[in-house]
Amino acid sequence: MLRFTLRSLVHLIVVLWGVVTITFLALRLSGNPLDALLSPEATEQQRAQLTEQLGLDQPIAMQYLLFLRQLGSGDLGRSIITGTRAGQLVGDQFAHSLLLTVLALAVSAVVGVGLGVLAATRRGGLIDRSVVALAALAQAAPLFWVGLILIIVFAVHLQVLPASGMGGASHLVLPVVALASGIMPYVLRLTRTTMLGVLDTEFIRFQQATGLGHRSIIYRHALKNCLPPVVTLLGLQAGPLLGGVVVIETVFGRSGVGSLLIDSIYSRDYPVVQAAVLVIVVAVVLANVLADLLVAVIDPRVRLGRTAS
Amino acid sequence: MTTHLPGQPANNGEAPLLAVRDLAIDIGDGPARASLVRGVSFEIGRGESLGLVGESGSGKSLTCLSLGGLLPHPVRVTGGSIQFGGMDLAAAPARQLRQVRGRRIGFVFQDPSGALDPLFPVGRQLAEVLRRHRPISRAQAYRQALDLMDELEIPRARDRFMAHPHELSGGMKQRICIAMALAGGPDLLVADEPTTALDVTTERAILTLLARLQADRGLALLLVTHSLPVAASVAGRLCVMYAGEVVELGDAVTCLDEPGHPYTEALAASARSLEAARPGYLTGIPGTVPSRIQDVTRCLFADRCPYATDECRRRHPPLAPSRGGVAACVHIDRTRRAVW
Ligand SMILES: Nc1ncnc2c1ncn2[C@@H]1O[C@H](COP(=O)(O)OP(=O)(O)OP(=O)(O)O)[C@@H](O)[C@H]1O
Ligand SMILES: [Mg+2]
Repeated sequence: MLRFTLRSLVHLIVVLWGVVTITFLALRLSGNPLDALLSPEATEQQRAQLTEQLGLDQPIAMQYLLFLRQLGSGDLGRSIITGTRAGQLVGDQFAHSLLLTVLALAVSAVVGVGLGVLAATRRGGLIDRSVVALAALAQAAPLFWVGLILIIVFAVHLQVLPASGMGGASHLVLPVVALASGIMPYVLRLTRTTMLGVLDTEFIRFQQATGLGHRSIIYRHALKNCLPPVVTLLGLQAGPLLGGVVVIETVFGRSGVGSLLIDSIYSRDYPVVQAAVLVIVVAVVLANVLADLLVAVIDPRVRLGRTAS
Repeated sequence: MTTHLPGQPANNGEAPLLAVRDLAIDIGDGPARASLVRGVSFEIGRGESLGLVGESGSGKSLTCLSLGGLLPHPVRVTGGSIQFGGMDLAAAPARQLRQVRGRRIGFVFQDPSGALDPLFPVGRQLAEVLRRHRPISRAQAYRQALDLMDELEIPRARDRFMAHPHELSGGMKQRICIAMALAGGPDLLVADEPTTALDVTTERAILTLLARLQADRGLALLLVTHSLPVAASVAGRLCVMYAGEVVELGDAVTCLDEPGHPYTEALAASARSLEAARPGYLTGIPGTVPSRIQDVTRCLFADRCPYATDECRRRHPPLAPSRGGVAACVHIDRTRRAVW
């Protein structure tokens, strides 16, 4: 397990280095970085100061090292609009988005796995067919549309939940449900298919023959065997989920890294955009590493470098 | 006075532990319906062992599975009875069958590598089955699991308790499976080709172990195998199946040495030529086993039988007394004594 963890960490570092390097190159290849990093009204003095800070008068290799050192000290530049440190700006907003994402992930995991198992154990029945139809519907519906429908039904008509804004737990319900609806169908479908496969394996038949109870066969053994692919999927969905956060935060008027990103793009606040993208990418990569580790905890064969059958 | 039929165990006036009568197993419905097993009857007495042999596809596994209500949909029992402990398992409701599985009849299957949950330590899987059958604490279950692993001659049971299936050899896994099958203290162990997936040395060890467990626990054993000599070495009596039917049933040694049915004769002969292992002298049985039978107005072995006559193709031969017990052949007198 230790070796597996170390391997995952090395993997993580390599990916992060790649992301950082691409960010560096993107800025250098798209023209004079000063035009991107400063507002058009910037004074000559400001331009000179930034030129020195970024080492733009030095060779590109030197610039790269300076860039890495700056990142290492957590300096992601300053917002063109407000002059606040971009890192801090993004960091403050990221907490809101993370909460939303983690809750949506948890909801879609619980609901998706639950309904998937329910459907698989009642294969071909009415429940199975309704659940599969529900998944298809949810999969086809765009996020913003789901968000609007939820607002119309629960906030406007029933008036049981707030439509938008920040606040207590009640403000989280609709955005979390809307966000979860985007990935829940994938979790559900994968759980159902995997479960049907597991239920058809030799060890399930043997457990039935040993007299083991239906419940412990389904919810202990079959379910655990379904988890590795589902956990991997949840890790992979972290990316689309953070993309969804951008939409959902806008629809529900919530602050967060998503709405910050949108605002910064509109105002061409390049340092903030860069910082936000960097944080999102790091979060996505971390989510995948976490998923890999979790799979290795569940399936001891993975730790040996073998793949689960 | 005696109700003892040829080919059935000596009963001393006691009812047999298991009595299968005229068992029929079909698949599908309507025009797609076909018969997989027909008219299978045999008995097993308490503590007795019966070897079930036959080529691939002859219906051995289906017969075994039917004893626990374990037939996979759409395969099902469509006739006959399975008398066991005062119940008819062929007609028993699912709830009752769940009480029988593991507690009255234990099952072991062919592939020990697929039979265990890959994600749980084997000792904990064994302990879980123990707790299912007995009202004991987790700690007690762990202790009893270790005892059971010792009884199954698993060396270093303590180390292996927390091992996952992929860390154990096939033989060790099969021992764990047998332990799980015996956890509920059954009277009958059904072992469906328990050694087919193992190498020859391990096969010997497992068969010896089964024989010992049988003697120690007074266990009745239904041992399925492809090999006539293996069956005869472990079981007192043999049941030979062909294309879903019993073609010979009787004393193991006699069936091997003086087969009553041409099919048993052919199985014995091919086993002997394997044993002699002389290249070019391997006797296979030409042709293949018919499956999904829809017409049984003839002897199903006739097309592959050296003794077949027109009569064999007109009439389905009934079981008739043979040297070892009963055999379903009209040419019993023509089959040869084995020359070893
Ligand atoms: N689930 C199933 N669906 C359809 N046909 C089946 C099924 N299980 C078994 N059969 C058919 O029933 C017949 C008997 O199968 P069975 O598994 O009992 O044979 P067997 O004697 O155990 O053979 P083997 O030595 O290969 O295990 C075969 O022809 C097989 O094709
Ligand atoms: Mg079989």
